[in-house]
Amino acid sequence: MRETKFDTIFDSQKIFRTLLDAFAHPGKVVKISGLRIGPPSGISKASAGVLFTLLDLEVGFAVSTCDKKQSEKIAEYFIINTGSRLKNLESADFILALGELPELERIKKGSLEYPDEGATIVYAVEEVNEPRPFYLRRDTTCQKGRGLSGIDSVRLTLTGPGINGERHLSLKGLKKQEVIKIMEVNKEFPLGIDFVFTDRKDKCFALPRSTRIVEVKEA
Amino acid sequence: MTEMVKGYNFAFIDEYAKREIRRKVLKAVSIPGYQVPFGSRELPIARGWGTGGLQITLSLIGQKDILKIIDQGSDDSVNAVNIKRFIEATTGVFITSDTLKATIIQTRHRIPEEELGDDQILVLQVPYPEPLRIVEPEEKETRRMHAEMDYAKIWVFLYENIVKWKEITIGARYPVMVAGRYIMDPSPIPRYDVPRLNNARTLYLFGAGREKRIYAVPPFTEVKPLEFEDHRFRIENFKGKACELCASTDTFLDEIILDDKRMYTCSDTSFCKKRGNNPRVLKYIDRNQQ
Repeated sequence: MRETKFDTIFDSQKIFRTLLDAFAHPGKVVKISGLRIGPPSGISKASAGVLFTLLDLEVGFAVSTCDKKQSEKIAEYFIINTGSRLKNLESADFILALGELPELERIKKGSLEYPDEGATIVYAVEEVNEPRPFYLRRDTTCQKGRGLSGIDSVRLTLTGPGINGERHLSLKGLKKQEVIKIMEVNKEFPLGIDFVFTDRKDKCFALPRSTRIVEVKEA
Repeated sequence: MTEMVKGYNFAFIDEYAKREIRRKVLKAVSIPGYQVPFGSRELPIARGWGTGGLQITLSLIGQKDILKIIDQGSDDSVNAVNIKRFIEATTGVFITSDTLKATIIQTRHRIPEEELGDDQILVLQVPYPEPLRIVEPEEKETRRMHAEMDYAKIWVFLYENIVKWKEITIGARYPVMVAGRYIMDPSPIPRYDVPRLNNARTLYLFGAGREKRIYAVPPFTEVKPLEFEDHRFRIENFKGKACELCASTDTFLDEIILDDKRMYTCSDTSFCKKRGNNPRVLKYIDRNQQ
């Protein structure tokens, strides 16, 4: 359980720079790879790496999943490895969400005086992709709402600071309904929640509260 | 290369400090123009001498980075040289004076003349992060003003300036509106550099060590200087003047007063040298041709 091969100085530094690149360019797909860690089942190395980089005893975190046993195991893993404190959803600074979006209305959005106190959610989904050029895309019109594998998938169009015009993304393992909830919670900028999406192949992208989702399509 | 000093952590500050600064930097990028409070650490240089920028740089830097440090455009002035030596001694990274080769550039009071790319980060040292301080002394009150977007006082200040002097008298530290939400102090860069914050390719990070604030302007973000419809923002005018060293007429010039005359030279010394060697070097790279 205790990771001994995570380099708190240089691995953290590399992950932070990758994250900063992702936050400065919302929707850009980046990769967090090369980590020699063995997180408990259910979470990717990238999700663990992001939290190793940002968590310590000064902040609190929560794990949001429907499986209570799994949640306890994962929480223990981060307590042991980062020294961070486990909190409830209402007071956590970082939330690791697995499988489904937590109830966003319970999560910190900051105050108008201190909007930076809004939480950060690391949301593990199946797969994130910058869409392939249209001529390589398979026609999925007959399977609306479900990808080929039967998993929910959406296509997003983003705009806002950090984006030159528009940016397109496709995600597997996220429902349209969830995207609408995210749009709803980040409506009152500067209040809001910042998101990092990670996938099974350790690819990530950031969705800070300043980003506007202008279009969401079921793919 | 100077030898690395032993007995200190990589990049001097401890990992707890770096983590806090990193968390704050991500929040700053997520809320463009908003000043995020942070716990400014003790450093071997005094607060007010670039410690905010320095702490950001130390939290960003890795072994593969190439660093450039400038002070008012110069690679060789005291503040720049001291910070450079300190970072070199605690990290062992390569130092360059070439703007285009650096991955991180820490600067005091200038944005380099050459256009920066999207893989570079510019870290600005900030003495006074609060743009509303000229009209409101109390921190609690300026925080409320930012929260409510109550910016009437600073607009009145600018208006009174025009009534009294027929000109807005702020030279450096010209207030800007970031992404239509926060009024921000761009640090004491000259007006000449202000338009270059707008829709840039580069991430700009601002650190105020003494005032304990971090803020950011992400790439491709609208940054507008405050101006009136009938009184537009203007930059410094160097009409008819050229750099005496490289003959440039399209750069920001420093005025040097000699016994009997005034001399002008480029404030960006590294670019001045490039132009001196090749007068045809451009400030903007044509990225379509690459």
